[in-house]
Amino acid sequence: MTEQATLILKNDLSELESVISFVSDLCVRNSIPAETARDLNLALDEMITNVATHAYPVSGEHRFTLQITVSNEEFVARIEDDGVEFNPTEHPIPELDAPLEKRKVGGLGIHLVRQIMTSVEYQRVAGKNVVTLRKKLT
Amino acid sequence: MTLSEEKNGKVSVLGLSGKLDIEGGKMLVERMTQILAGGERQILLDFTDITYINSAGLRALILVAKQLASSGGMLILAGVSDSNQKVLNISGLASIFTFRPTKADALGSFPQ
Repeated sequence: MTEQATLILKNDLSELESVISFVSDLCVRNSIPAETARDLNLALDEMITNVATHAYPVSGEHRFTLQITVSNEEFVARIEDDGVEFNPTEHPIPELDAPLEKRKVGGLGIHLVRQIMTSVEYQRVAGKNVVTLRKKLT
Repeated sequence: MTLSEEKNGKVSVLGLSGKLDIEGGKMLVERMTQILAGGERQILLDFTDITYINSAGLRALILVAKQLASSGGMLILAGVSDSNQKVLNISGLASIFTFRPTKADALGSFPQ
């Protein structure tokens, strides 16, 4: 059985709570194990925070969409925004072995997403960033 | 996130509860700055009641670790859950911290 939902979100961190809550409920309905549900919530937190924080440098309210499709095999999240062009798959990986004094604080969010999800795909379509996150469930 | 504090000998124990996210991270960095300004150098962060860490929380932890290292201090993280440890491991931060399973273990690891 496949479940699909689309959320329209504002570029505001206050949206995170409702997304996390929605995804948690969806995971329970689809018998997704708690650890996987936690991972998915973290990945979405990072992606949504990124859009809300960086996609729209000029202040003002914008909307972007999060479409989630869950089947027995896969959880797919598609995030579409018309903010500044940003390809997370080309974002440099932080230096994970660097000594403390050389550690940078940036880039960890995208890195977490890439580690958690089975795949991360990016397309730029008609002026929009379209990021598709997939997580195999079987 | 809420933050509780106690002093145990020379060790400042900060009990973190809730989510170590952007707000929690800010709170942690601010409090750590104050504590270090007060001359404390042995810090125990009790993660037993931390339910969630995201990259903003990780950034705060890196900043706190750097603050303490440049002050010549010692930092131990206690009671990090398996799921939070996983996040620290994925982000390559496990190697820059000292961990102990419980607060008691951590307290015993500071020099007397």
